[in-house]
Amino acid sequence: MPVQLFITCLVNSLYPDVGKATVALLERAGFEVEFPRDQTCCGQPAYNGGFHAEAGEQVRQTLDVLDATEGPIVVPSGSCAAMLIDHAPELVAAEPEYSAKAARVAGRTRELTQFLVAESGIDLGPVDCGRATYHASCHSLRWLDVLDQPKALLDGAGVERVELDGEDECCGFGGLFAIKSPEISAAMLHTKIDRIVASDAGVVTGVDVACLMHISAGLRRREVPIAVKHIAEVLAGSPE
Amino acid sequence: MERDQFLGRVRAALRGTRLPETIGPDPAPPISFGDPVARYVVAAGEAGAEIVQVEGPEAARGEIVRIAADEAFGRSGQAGFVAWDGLDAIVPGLYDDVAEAGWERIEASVGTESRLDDHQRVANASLGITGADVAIAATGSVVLGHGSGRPRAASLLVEHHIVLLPIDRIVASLQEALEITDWSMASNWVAITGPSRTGDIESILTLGVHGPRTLSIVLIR
Amino acid sequence: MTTFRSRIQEAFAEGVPISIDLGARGRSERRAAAAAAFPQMEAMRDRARVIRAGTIANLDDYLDAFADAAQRSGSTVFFAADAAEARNYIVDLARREQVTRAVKVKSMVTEEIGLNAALAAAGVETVETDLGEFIVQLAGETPAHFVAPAIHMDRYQIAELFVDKLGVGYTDDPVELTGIARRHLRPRFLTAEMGISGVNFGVADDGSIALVTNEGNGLLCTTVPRIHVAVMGMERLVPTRSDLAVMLEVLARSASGQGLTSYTSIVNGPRRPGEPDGPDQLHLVIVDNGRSATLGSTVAEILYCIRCGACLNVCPVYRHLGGHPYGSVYAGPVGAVITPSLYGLEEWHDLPATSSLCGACAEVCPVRIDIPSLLVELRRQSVDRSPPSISAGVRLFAALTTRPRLYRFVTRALGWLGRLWSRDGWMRRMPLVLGSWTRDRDLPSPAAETFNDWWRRSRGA
Repeated sequence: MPVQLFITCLVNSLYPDVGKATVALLERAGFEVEFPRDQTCCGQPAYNGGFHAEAGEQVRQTLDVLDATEGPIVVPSGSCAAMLIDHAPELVAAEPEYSAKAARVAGRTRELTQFLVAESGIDLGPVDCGRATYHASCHSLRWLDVLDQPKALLDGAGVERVELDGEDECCGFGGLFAIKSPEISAAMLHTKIDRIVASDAGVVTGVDVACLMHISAGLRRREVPIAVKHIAEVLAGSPE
Repeated sequence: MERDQFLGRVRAALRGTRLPETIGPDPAPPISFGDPVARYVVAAGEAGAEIVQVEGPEAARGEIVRIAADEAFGRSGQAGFVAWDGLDAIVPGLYDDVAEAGWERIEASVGTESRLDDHQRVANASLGITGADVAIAATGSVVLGHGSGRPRAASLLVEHHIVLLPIDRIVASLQEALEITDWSMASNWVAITGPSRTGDIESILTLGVHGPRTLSIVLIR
Repeated sequence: MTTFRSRIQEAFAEGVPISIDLGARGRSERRAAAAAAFPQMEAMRDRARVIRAGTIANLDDYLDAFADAAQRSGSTVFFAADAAEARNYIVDLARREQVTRAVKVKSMVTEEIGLNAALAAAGVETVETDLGEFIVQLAGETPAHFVAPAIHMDRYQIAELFVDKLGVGYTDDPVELTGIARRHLRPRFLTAEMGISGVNFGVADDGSIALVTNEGNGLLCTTVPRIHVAVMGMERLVPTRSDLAVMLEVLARSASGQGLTSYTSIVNGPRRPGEPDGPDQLHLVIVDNGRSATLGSTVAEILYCIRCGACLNVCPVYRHLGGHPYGSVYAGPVGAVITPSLYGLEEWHDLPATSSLCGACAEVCPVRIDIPSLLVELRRQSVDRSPPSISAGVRLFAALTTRPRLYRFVTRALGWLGRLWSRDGWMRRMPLVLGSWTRDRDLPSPAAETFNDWWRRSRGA
């Protein structure tokens, strides 16, 4: 059975290399990858912002696309996976047809590292990206219990890894929060960047492109030369 | 607002949204320890109490006299003490011995009309001696019921509080303590865990705020 | 009326005291250590939620039983529909009983109803006795946290404050400062006619109330004065004493990492004949003040809260700000839900908006309140108050993403345009709503080719 790739709107537009690395990993693990081309956005930013009418439209579109496929749905982003697993079913709970689709899709959806650790005996090693530290994105950590899996994959690939002090502290992105409350969002980002700098790592990695985008945006503005790579890029040995 | 009207608003609010929650029995097993006394001693110490184990009432008397005669207490310049009645049933001769160690027993009863004067008098006591109705191994606490003959001041207004605790009063958990207590005995109960403390200044722990500065537990086997 | 955002800007301009973050982190660590050392913690949290949920679901019956039992024990029970009724009852009582001085234990609900100012206006000197509250009262401020009111001040500020207001010599040693407060407050305890406290929990079964403190001031306020007034938010009930035991197990661990606080007292009425000391009158003031409206709302779950402050301690927004910028008696994650719920979304919708929904609060809540869901629900109710640019952007994005071919076209076009504007793959200054991003952060520019187009090109599918 093939795996369906739900690439997420941020990866699609801003970080397609993360998507390519995800494909490479899944194929290396022996899976046939399919990509339903009509996918767009899971609706999370609208949902979190309280725009539930709009989020509902996006969820229904996503469910239509994904429910027309078979096999595990793999998502290289913890927060989008959490949206499909936890919140999409709530949003369409009052609509029997979509409620059934949502339940099916939620049952099939996995965040990438969850999937790789649970489903594959993937042979990864060795990867040398320098000293790396892992940022535990909030939704992945608290909604999906994803923490040990990415660390296990990194350690299994021989990555030199240091623990990030305050790894579970929010980077400050929060979707619309970043532009509606920019001062507090930026303050949280600065705290996170201070922690990353203090870790002495050359690379910071994670499982959620939204967080990594926010972190890289702040590192860049502060002219801190620490690289930011999605875990798929680290594990696939992405080109410089 | 009249009670019925007040509760009517609550009822109206619940009408559309009354949650189907009922509180069934607690499925969790009770908290227990292999050696509750050993646990108690550790926990009381961790909470900041001075805890001494003695064999029998004679040794207890000696220990209390030792604590009462402690120079440190004398430094505050006051030598009055308040105590629960009936402690000489646990430790015969207690009151006389403490008096002999230089402490004057202060009458702790506070009258309704003479409250102000009575409290000023009671506030002169820097030492308080009480028993305990039950003690909690999990936390190192003592539980005191302030019924007849048991002034609250003895564990509250004083600087130094001594508790006489017969070892058979120790139970494992707070749950057990609340279960076996005879609540009809007093209008006021307190579980005391260590001396008074605060972290309000820069989160730095300071012992001895408004309640007693020291808590000494004499554990009588 | 200021906005939360403007108060945040002001707080950052003034500089937020580092003690807020340090204090919050310290308490979070102590909470985590206490939870780890208590094997039954998770089971207790589950049980605590069941107890609170069951109580709230049947609050009318429990309040009825509580009031009956309390009256049988000799307490006087007053039901206050709102803050004004509660204040008036207490002020009238003080006048009738010729109270000139009242001593208070820290109580959020008494802050909420504005009691101190009302008593002061009636000529009653009202003295806060909890050390942090005492400090904050001397400074003429409001508390910055439920459990640690003076968390925003350091020892040097407190030392200066004591010199200024109490006329003592300068010392910044915390032990000595505590001793100064003890000596200053002792005579006030002894001469106050009225002691005012909150209620941590009321027990419906027998009408008793539980009070939880560390300093001993709780007991002093409720023992020495002849009148004890206990103010209780109407939701702060549990059915039985064994339910109370469960709540106490999770409260102190969650608030300060202790198994139990130094003093946990259970009071059932004024003193009885034969008891040597204690108050002669106990008045229970049960306060609604918007709680019944909350009870009937979609965020009723927030009423399970037991005011431990654990959510404040882990919240990144709270840690960066402290309590004052929230502008409400209740700060932090619980405050962001309960404030608009009690006082209206009209004025307070920006509190629930100001969260990244990280979920740290839900992770530590002793009664497992799903605060992020409640925040999203309040946002759902506030969409009409969103800035027009954001609403328009969300609607536009929804329109695009429900039309896949148009979406692919637009993202392709934006990729092309974005590369015109950017340098090295980044944009530094953006107009309009994106300007609030680029003030502090660079903005990544769209990639040369979307993943979707790459897939079609390289996989031919």
